[in-house]
Amino acid sequence: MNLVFKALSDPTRRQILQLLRKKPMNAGELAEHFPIAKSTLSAHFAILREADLVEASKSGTVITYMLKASVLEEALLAFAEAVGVGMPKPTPLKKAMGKAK
Amino acid sequence: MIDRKALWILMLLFFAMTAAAIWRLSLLPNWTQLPIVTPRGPSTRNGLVLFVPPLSLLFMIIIGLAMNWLFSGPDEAIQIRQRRSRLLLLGTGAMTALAQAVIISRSLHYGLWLNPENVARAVVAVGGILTMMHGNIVPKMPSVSKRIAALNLDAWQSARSRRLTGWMTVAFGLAMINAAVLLPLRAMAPTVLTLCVAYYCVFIWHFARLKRESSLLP
Repeated sequence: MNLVFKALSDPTRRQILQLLRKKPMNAGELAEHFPIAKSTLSAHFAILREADLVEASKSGTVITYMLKASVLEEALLAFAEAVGVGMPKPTPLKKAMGKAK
Repeated sequence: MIDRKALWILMLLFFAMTAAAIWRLSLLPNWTQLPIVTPRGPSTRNGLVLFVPPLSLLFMIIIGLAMNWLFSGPDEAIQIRQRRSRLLLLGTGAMTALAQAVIISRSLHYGLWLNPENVARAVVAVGGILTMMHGNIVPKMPSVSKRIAALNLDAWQSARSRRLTGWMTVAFGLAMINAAVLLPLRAMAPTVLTLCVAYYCVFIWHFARLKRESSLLP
């Protein structure tokens, strides 16, 4: 379960899972949605696979990823998304105003 | 799906429950008059009621064996599916055995302190918990093909079907727990049965919808 929490704690990985809920995607298709290096994305895939949240199937040279989350894991995903776990905290209004001055 | 270990345990339970029912009937002068102590006082029922728990267990075993026949695929995937279904099967088996033990003991005027209504509620609630636990892992079950070609879906469609089944099974389990806690005893069985019918209707509708869609996989 620790692996699942670790996997769900990162907003990028949660976004990957949200995309995979809609349809299966290969690494290239997923990469189009994120402005990050492919190696970083690969590390995210490895963590998701380790947590058994995605299933990868290879056909030729293309690896297609599919969501493989239990009901509880999907509920946790929705909860983490709603609460915004791992998101940068919003700047307090006073500080932001001070900076603007 | 049912593995060999669970099959043996459930078969033993079935024979033990059937033997217990026959033994209890053999003690009766008239098998249509089984004495039962209800909260409202002594009453009689048809003795065949004793065979309802073992027959429901037998029905569950047959369904499990039919699933074993229907699904074919790599041994590892089949074993994972069987292992993950074991808890639900054995738990349900234990619940039916408990239900029969309560009927027999009360007909022999033992265990009168047990309120049969509370036992029925507890059985349904535990059944609901087991159903929820099973439903939770349904989306994680490995994809296997079916012997009847018309029932086969591609890997993505199959994953979607399992996802919906998982959510529906968890919701069904939750509804069973709520029914056990909140509803009057008389309304419990019709409610669970209605939900069961609705569950299968949604499952078939979703399956037909998936079958019409074109594959998204390369």
